[in-house]
Parts: sequence; structure tokens; C-alpha cells
Amino acid sequence: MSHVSNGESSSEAGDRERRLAEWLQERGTVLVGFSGGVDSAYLACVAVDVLGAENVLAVIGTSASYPEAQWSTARAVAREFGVPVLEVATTELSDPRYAANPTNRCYFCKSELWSRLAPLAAERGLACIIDGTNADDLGDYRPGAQAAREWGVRSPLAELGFSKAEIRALSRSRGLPTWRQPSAPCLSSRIPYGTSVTPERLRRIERAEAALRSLGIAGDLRVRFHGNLGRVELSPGELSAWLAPVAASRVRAAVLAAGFERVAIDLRGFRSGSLNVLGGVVAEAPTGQPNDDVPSNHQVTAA
Amino acid sequence: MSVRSRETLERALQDMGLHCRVEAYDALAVVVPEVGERRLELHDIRRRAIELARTYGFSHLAVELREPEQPPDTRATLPRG
Repeated sequence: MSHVSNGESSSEAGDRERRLAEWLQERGTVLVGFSGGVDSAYLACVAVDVLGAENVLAVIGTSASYPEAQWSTARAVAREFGVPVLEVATTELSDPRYAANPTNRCYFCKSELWSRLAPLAAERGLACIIDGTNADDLGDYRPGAQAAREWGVRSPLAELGFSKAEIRALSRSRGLPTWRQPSAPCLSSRIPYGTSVTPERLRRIERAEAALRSLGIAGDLRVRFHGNLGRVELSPGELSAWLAPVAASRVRAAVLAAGFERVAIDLRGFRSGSLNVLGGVVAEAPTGQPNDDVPSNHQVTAA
Repeated sequence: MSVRSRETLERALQDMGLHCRVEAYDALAVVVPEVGERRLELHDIRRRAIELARTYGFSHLAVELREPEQPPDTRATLPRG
């Protein structure tokens, strides 16, 4: 885990959190788009601390494109930290523009989410809708950000320059269990652009990843969908261990049981935005080395 | 990265001594090792394979996990009716 480790950086993070408190106080009341991930959990908890629970509503947009385990985490964090939470079902999968899986798929998902949350905020008299986008996210290809702008959603963590590492460190100091939670983008991100997103495919991916977790695979993990082939991306530090025959055989059995017919392990390990590179949406980073020498806990990137 | 070529990558990997074939799915190359081929478990071999994949136009390289080798079936076949 790369987090704030020296006094100066820690002080910078503390200053940033004070600025976040001021930012929230200026709004007075907020609706937080809440996924239970590292960023939105931190943001919701700070908002409750600063504004009081009566001035905060965290809304979970429950979608078939996220694993059930994600919502369980979100509910548990909200319960433990006194965050008022509401669940709203979203139906982006029934939007053919989303299901066709174009490179701007996230735009249609976020449009659906914010179109449901904006009227809710107005109805409840909440002054501002906020999300957990952080400063590191701004460098990624994120068409969903356009939808946020169109709906007037603000991203205070990004606006105030919070890095993912700072959010993890500040979450840890608050006792949030999410501080070391791997990034968990939606399951549709496992399906290459242009290959349609269907409930069956999402559930197959969800089952495969859950089965691999149950084997004890830690850190970042993705099962990428390539038709009948499931391609497993593991944290680089885990790769060598799971390529050994007995372990590989267990990986294969787990992914086959989920509904794939063939199983492969990616030899470079987990890469954030891997399918963006594969789909030619972004250029590849200039390295061709396997990542076994990199401790898995250095991989804390989103998406 | 040069022009993508599955055949050239496959030949290059075989020249490294890997007993395998290669399938291509756009910029993803999947190495299908022969049963018993385990050299991709070695870090240095993986690194060289990845370099070759990039050289021949693939951003992603994966190895298929094959069914473990089964002992030969030594049972006598039953004569057909």
C-alpha cells in the first residue's frame, strides 16, 4: 500500500482534509453518490462528521453491473459509521446504448445514475450532489465524468487534489475498513469495448471472481471476458504462485465452474484500464516487463 | 510496436524452446502450451515472451491453463458387437 508515510505528507493530507471540511460546510447539505468503495466511503464519513447525519444522504445506485459483495460492503460501512443511506435501482443495462458497450459506456451508466439522484436531491432539499472521484482519476479515460458535469455533480476530492494514496491513509486513520480495499470498478469493465454487456456475462464474471477470491487470491483481481475464454489478471506479486501447477489447476477449475470454457492467466498481471489499452482507447505504458518484482500492494489504482 | 503477427510470435516463442501455439484476439495473444510445458512459470521466460509479444504487436499476453495431463488409458477396448 503506498500511503502517506512521512510527516510532511501526512501534514499535507491533514490540511487537505481541513479544506474538505470547509468545502462541505459551504454547501451545508449533500447527497453523496455512494458505492462503498474507498473514495466515496471516506467522503461520506467526513461529510457526516462535518455536517451531521441529518444533512447527509448517501445513495447507493444498485446496478446489475456491480457485484453483490460491493453493496454488502457499502451497507456495512454506512451502518458502522452512521451514514444515512438509501438504495435506488438503476437500469442502465436496459439502455441499448450502454449494452452495446461503446468506449463511452460509462457516460450512459452515470447519466442513468445522476438522472435518478438529481431529483432525489431536489426533493430532499439537499444543496449539492457529490461523488468520490479523486485527483488521480482525472488522468484516466473517464467518459462518466461528462455525465457528472452535465448533472452538476461536484467532486470535492478531485477538486481539492486528494490522491488515492492520501484517501487510503486518511481512511486508515479514521478506522475505515475500506482503507486497503482494492479498487472495484463495475463488472462491465471486464468486457472488451464493442462486445455487448449482458446480465449473463456479468454474473459469469462475478461468479468467477468470487470463486477466485475464495481460493485466497488477495489484492487486485479481474476476470476479463473474451467469449468462452476467461482471462485472469492477478496482482503482480501473486502471479508466480498461481502459475504453479496445483494452484493453476485450482484457478482453472474455479473459472470453469463459473461458466467459462477456457481459462488463461495474463502474464503481465493486473493492469488498471487493461481493456482500454486492448481496445486502443489509450496508449500502453512504455514497459514490457512482467511485474513479479513489484509488491502487489503498490497497485492501488482505480478502474 | 510493429505490425501484429500471430504466426511470427508463435515461431519466436517456439524458437525460445516453448512447445506451444498462439491464438490471437485482436491485441491479445494467448499462448496455448503443450501438455507438460511449464517454462512460462519462470520469470525470465515470461519476461522474454512478453517482450516478443510486444515486438510482434500484442499489448497483452496470457497463457491458457490446460487440463492436467491424464495418465494414458491402458484399459483394453471392448470389441464392438
